[in-house]
Amino acid sequence: MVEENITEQKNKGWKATGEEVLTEAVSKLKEKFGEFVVLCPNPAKEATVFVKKEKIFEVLEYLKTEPSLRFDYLSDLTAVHFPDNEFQIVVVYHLFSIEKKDSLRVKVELKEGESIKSVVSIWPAANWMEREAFDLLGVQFDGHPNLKRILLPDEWEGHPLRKEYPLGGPQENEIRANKYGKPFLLPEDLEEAKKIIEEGRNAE
Amino acid sequence: MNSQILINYIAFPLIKIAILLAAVFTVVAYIVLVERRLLGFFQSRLGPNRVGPLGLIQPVADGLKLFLKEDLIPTNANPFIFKIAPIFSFFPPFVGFAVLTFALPLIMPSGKMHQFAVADVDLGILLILSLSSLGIFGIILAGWSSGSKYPLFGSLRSASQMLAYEIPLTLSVISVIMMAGSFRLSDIVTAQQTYKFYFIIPGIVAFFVYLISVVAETNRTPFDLPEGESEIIGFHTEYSGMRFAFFFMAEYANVVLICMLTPALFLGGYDIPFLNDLELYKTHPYLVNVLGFLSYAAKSTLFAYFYIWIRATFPRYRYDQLLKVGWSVLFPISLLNLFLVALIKLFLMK
Amino acid sequence: MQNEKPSHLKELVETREFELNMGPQHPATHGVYRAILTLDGERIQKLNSVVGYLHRGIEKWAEYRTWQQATPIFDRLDYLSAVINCHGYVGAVEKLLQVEIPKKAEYMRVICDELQRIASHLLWFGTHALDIGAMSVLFYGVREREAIIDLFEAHFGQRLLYNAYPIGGVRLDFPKGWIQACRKFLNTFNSRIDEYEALLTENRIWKQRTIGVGVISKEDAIAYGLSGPTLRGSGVYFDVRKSIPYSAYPDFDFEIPLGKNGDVYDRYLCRIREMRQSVRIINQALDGMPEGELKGKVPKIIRSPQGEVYFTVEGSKGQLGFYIVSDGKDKPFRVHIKSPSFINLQGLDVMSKNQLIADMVAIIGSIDIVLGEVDR
Repeated sequence: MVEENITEQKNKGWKATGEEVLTEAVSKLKEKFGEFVVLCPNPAKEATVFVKKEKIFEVLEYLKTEPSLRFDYLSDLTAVHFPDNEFQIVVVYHLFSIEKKDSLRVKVELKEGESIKSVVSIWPAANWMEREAFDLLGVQFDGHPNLKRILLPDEWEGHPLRKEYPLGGPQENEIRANKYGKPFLLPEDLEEAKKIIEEGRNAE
Repeated sequence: MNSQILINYIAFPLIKIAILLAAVFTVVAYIVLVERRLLGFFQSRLGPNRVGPLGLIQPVADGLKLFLKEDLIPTNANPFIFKIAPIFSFFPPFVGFAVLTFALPLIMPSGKMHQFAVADVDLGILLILSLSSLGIFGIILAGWSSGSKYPLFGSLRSASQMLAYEIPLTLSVISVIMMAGSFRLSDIVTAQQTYKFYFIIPGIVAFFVYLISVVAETNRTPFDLPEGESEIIGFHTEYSGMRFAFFFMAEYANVVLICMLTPALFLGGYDIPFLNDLELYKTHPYLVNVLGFLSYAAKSTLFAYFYIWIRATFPRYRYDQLLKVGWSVLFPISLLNLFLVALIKLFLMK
Repeated sequence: MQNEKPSHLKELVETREFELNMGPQHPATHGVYRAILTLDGERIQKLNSVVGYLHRGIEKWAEYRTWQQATPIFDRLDYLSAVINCHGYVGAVEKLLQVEIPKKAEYMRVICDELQRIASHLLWFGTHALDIGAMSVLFYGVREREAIIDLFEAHFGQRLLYNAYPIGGVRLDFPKGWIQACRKFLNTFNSRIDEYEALLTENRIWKQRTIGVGVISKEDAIAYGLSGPTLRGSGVYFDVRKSIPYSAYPDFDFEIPLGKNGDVYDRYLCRIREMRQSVRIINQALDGMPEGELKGKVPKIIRSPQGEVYFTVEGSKGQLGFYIVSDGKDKPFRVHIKSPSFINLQGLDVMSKNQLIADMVAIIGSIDIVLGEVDR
């Protein structure tokens, strides 16, 4: 199942290159969770696995508690938006084991509108990171104690790090229409602006 | 007869008050400048040196700026109390100067003696102590009436701080009073002159307790909790312009008052060190007057420097730690010291 | 706390919790950080952090710039350690491209990184002391930092935001006489630190204010994802320079100072000792500086392979990570910044439980946040 999804995704848009890295942690995961864990290639030789959404919480809990792995430090949690893929959102966990100095990247794919279980109960550090992912990418985390916007104001609309969100904000087109308030002046814009100014002068 | 009363009881004191106030205002204005310059040197920078030669006109510029600023009253404030609070704070330290004596009496050619004090009353030291507690009311009222949370914290802190420090302060002053046998400040100095030693020697413990409590009394680092500018900004957060200037001047007037009171209590005031003042006074009264005044000024300056130095050096105490120091360290020490001084007085100071 | 009041008092006096809004304009929050405190007297019952006042959308912005164009914006994260931020981003891109960096460039990067770490810690030293009320220390710290900034000005041409490294190496060799000037600074620096420590380290008031304040246990510190001196103050041996070595750090002999109790004082000591270790590293790097190229082979127009990379450096505040996803074009597809201040600030909630307002100020100082990095 999962294999299919990933190949499908590979064919559609973004695909990782490089080689698959097999560390002790990865092989243990593969052994324990079998088909739910898929290796992912990486150009910089970083250990990376895809985990199916249904098992993600169990996998992360196992990684944290398994005495031979002990990934006790959640280095980073974020998400990436792939607008062209079937699975639009990929949530990425960067784990680190302070004792064993071993790192691992765990990725989960979500379809648009799907939610994922919060890991705050495993690593309290995830609290703000998940809020950030929710704020900027609109990922829903189930069971999060306080899933509110963190960097943007509460009344903000949209999730800026999604690809369909324009750089200038939702009002970007309005700003573009405003002849003096253009966010960026490309050469053709400059020509256009000159024209507009010229017209204005003529009208006066 | 009538004109004599007018001169003695109205004209003369008024002139004295005018001279004293002028002097005190100047000193208060310039101690701010001195502090800023000295802090600058402590901190490897220059301090204000742009206005006038060596920055000497800086206090005028500062005063002018504050005077011209808009007087803001927050909407939440209680306007009446908000307006009178600075006066409560401003007035007591300036009154305190009235009972200070600056030198031995001036002998007029007519043979009359004139005190170098506006009113050398016989309860002088008590007056200063009670006035300094009055000053706290200004702070409490200011914080409470501002209608804002940060000033409220400042005034609450100030109230509990006063309770913790007034008592050791008063107890250590009482030990001086016991040794001198009088509340009058000029008597305290004369007592030190006649005993031929300063009260700092038998009262060394009292001196240190006094020195610490006085810093808390004047709300300066390391006990500047009512201000605590990095935590709660202070009881005068909501004040601006002249009303703020009143608090500001009151703080420095307090510092000056304390700097002048400390030598009088512990270092012989206007006594000239290494000289028998009272003997010399019989032959050269004017010389002793001048030298005594200078020695008093020098001793006061020393303390002023000391307080500025402290400010440049120490971190701030925490609120609860300060209360702990006040109640469980300084209070018992000063109480024990009181008994010690009593014994010294009884057996050694005949 | 209400229930703990004696019953006879309860009838007479009504007590209630008090909400205090600290920030975003407050001298002790080191920028536009806002804490909503629920207080019982002056004791903090609950702390609710509000951040984001300085959010500039750096991550979004970087997606619209080519790989090289995006470099300078990351200086603006933690504007007090711009060099290290730049190293983080540039290092991530180099890891993605698998570029070989010349040894000399790596040594020069280490020197500048460590100088920047000292500069950042010096400013922390001053402001932290100022928060606790020792005002003179600020000026001493700034004076030393000025010397470092002068060195940077001579090398990079800027004084605060340097745009320090290009992708693939360093731009220019150190100017003539720079190494001597740097050595001169390092020779005096250790004794200067001794002087400043004399003001604080054994000061009774300082110790009373910091020991036992804002304690966070080893387990909590790891669980909350803290990093940098804030984590090491609790006695956790985690420093990216040792745990996930990068650049030329494996070549040098240095120690990672650890705290014991995880209070404000231990974090203070960690940073002070870290400055001394940085001096050690710089001296070794200056001594062992190899000759050679300044820049590896990087094409003018970079097209990275498709893939993702996570590169972390030890920033002055903690583990600074860059997660970069590339779709094979000339622009990054997604840049995510793991900013240490942001994560460390989470720990404030735990540290300030049941502390006084004055402690809270000390704790914020000891975490050493820079809001540019928190809000990005």
